[in-house]
Amino acid sequence: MGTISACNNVQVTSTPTETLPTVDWEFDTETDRPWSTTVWDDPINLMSYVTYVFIDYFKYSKEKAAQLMLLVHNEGRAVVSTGTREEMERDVAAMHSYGLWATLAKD
Amino acid sequence: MEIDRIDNGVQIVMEEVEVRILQDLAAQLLNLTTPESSEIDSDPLAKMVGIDMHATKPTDPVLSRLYPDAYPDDPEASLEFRRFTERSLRDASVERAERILQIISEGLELQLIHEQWNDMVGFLNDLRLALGTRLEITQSLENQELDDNDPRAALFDLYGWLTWMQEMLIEKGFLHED
Repeated sequence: MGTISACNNVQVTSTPTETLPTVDWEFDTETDRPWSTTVWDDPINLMSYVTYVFIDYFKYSKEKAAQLMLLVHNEGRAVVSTGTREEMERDVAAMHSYGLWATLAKD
Repeated sequence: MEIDRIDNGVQIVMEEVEVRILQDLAAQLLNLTTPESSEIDSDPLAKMVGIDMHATKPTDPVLSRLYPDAYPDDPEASLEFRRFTERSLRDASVERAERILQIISEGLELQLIHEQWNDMVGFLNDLRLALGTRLEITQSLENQELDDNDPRAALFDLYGWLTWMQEMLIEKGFLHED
């Protein structure tokens, strides 16, 4: 995602290749996706329900959803998505709407 | 109560007393989550987009659990996030509980397909979060041993029943989906 949005600023013209601006992909990746959504373990939400939420909202595969759920369960938390601050606020609000305990932070 | 898989959903057969328990719990949930009227109600645009600039961090632990802080180390950002999200979360929860009340009033044999299944699973989750937080559940229920004379014993049974119901709905209606 970060690399794609970086292309928006690059104008493709007939400019000779030697004058094309160089794109710092690394930089763009970091500025575009520095935020993450963390889901925390809690004693109430069922493991099957948490798996269902990850599949239903993030459209993750059953395998990935189950892996993330186990990470939450065993480690106490797991990063479930990364992106811009705006995207992560959307994901956190969605997790709250499912009743999961989620927070966002800048990495 | 019996819960069985049907095409695209589940069938639930309930007893009258079980319907009454769910109705009672729904009423309590509505009582808890229905937003108190505030200035948002006189501002149609704010109401439409679910922004409540007067929202504050709830003092009730159940509400704090249902609507947690989004920024663990930043109370100010958390409050701003809350003002832009909590009202919508409450409205969605209230509307869902009202749809469930309508569904369970229609008979003892229910067929929950797609959205109705989602509604029931989410509704049960709200109830379990509310009841579980009140009961201060800190570990899985299996590990808790309550004395028969403990006044919370009946609520623990109720919590266990809601857990069973949600687990069965997910097992029959979702995990078998392929």
